[in-house]
Amino acid sequence: MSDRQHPRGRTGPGHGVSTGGLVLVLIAAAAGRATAQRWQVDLTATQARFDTSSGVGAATLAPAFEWQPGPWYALLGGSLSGFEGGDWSGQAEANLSFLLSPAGRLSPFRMELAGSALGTYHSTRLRTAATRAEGRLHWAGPQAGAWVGASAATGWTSAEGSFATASGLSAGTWGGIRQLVGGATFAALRIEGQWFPEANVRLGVAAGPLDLSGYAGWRGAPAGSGFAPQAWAGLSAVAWLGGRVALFLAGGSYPPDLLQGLPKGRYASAGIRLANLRPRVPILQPILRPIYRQEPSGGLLRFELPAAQRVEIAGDWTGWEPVPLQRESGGRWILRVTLPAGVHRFNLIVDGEWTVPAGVTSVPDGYGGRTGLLIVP
Amino acid sequence: MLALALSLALGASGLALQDTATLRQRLDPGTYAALLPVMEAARRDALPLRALEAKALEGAAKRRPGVEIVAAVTQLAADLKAARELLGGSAAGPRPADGDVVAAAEALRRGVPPQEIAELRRATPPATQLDVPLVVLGALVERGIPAAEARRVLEHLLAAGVPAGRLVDIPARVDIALRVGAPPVPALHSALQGLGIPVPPGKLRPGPPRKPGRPPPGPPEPAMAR
Repeated sequence: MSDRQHPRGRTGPGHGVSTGGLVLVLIAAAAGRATAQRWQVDLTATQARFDTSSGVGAATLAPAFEWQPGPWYALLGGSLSGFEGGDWSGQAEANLSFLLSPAGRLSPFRMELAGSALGTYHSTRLRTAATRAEGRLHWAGPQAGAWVGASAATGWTSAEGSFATASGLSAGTWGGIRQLVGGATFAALRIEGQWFPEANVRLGVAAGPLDLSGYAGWRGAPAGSGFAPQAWAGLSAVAWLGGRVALFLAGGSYPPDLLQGLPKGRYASAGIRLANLRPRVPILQPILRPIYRQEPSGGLLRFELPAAQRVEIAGDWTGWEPVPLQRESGGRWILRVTLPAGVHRFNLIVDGEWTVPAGVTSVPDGYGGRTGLLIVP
Repeated sequence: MLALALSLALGASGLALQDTATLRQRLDPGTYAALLPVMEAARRDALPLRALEAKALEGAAKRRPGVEIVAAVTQLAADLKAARELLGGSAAGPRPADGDVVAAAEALRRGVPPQEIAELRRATPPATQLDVPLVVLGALVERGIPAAEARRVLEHLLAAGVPAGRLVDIPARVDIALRVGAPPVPALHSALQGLGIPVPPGKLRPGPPRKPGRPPPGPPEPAMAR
């Protein structure tokens, strides 16, 4: 299921301890990146090496389902892995989040209440479980945001029959520039009286049919805890063959899960993903950014279309004859033209397709499409 | 021969040849001929001919069939006529500015009730250009702000002398507020505050309930929560 698929234990850095990965997902999902309902099924071949054993190959089937009714966000997932030698394991998790907005008040701040439960079972009768509850305060701007939170968690493993509790504070930030988005989190969790600081960073970019992402993290450990500081990192590439099928490659490392007592490991995996739709890496668009500027030397039309190969503009001032724009660095396309004050109607023709640039007010064109409105004050 | 006949027909109908020269060049003869009565009627009604010509050229540029071009221009002419009446003009009386008429027609298409357009015209001095305010009004209504409230705010801003260059920033600011979950009317209120535009006196009337907002997009997660 995961781009960091491995056959046993948790797949993300610090699950059961860290808040980083899940929080970022929840923010992204709550932002509308996720659709109201999305499912995917991964079939993965993995070669993994844990610090408690030698390398092992595995095949994994992992379905997941996410659902976002109103202010709720729910994620259900699981996996079933068969190992070389005949062992097998299963894992399941449920995440639920609820976003609160202050009633009747305009505010970029939001409260989030989140909870999760997860567990694993191995054919050697090893069982583990963990739960977590967390409250977060989000500040969300148009292209960046930040949050702080407090959490409480529990973990259990049948290997030692032990039960662990944790509590702590966390904070994170995220932002995006064009198709590159990223985030960083920091958490300090107190587990059985000892503090474990942890930092995570993530980056992702959508490039055509490819979704590329990477992560890295570090966790400190207090002297005498029996643990050593850990660092981990990983990369993944997902190539979409249309909107429903993808091939993926992933590799990297992850830290031990302190609450469930699962070991750290390294992995390399490849697989195929079936989904009802491609999870959209958010492409942050400017909203109604001024596209016309009056400069001392004359007027300047400017659009940011980094992926375009050819851009033309047609409008009432051109008699609706397409006029090519000039490409500049940074994916900008410009046209020097001085327009009279007033409201002008136009379309861009981007690689042959008539369109209205994102963020520009538009009206029905009478031909089944839209016409952009360019206002020159 | 056909062009000559059409030119003669145009001359007889009173349409200046230069008004339709571009159309004749860009449209096929059949479409051009079908448009002539529409253009002639628009001329008699003192509608903005350039807007109609532009709509036809837009259709030609977008390679639409002639029948669609004629239909679009005919519909626009009807919209312009309705809009001009809302703005208080008639063929015989003082004419509202062409830009105002076109903007009012587009506002109608965007869901602005006719009475709000008429009220905005009545409440503002006749010399006040309304093209940009009408575009902003349409944008605000599209964002879920009750038309009466949006019109009331715009009236106030025009009376306060807020220039068009600042009005056009309002929808973008409303978008920001909506993205972080504000209901439409408080979003408008916030937009005005954010732009340093004086907020109209009186309590802003609440708009229709809106689905709880979402924070804007965050970082990617290629797999679902792992």
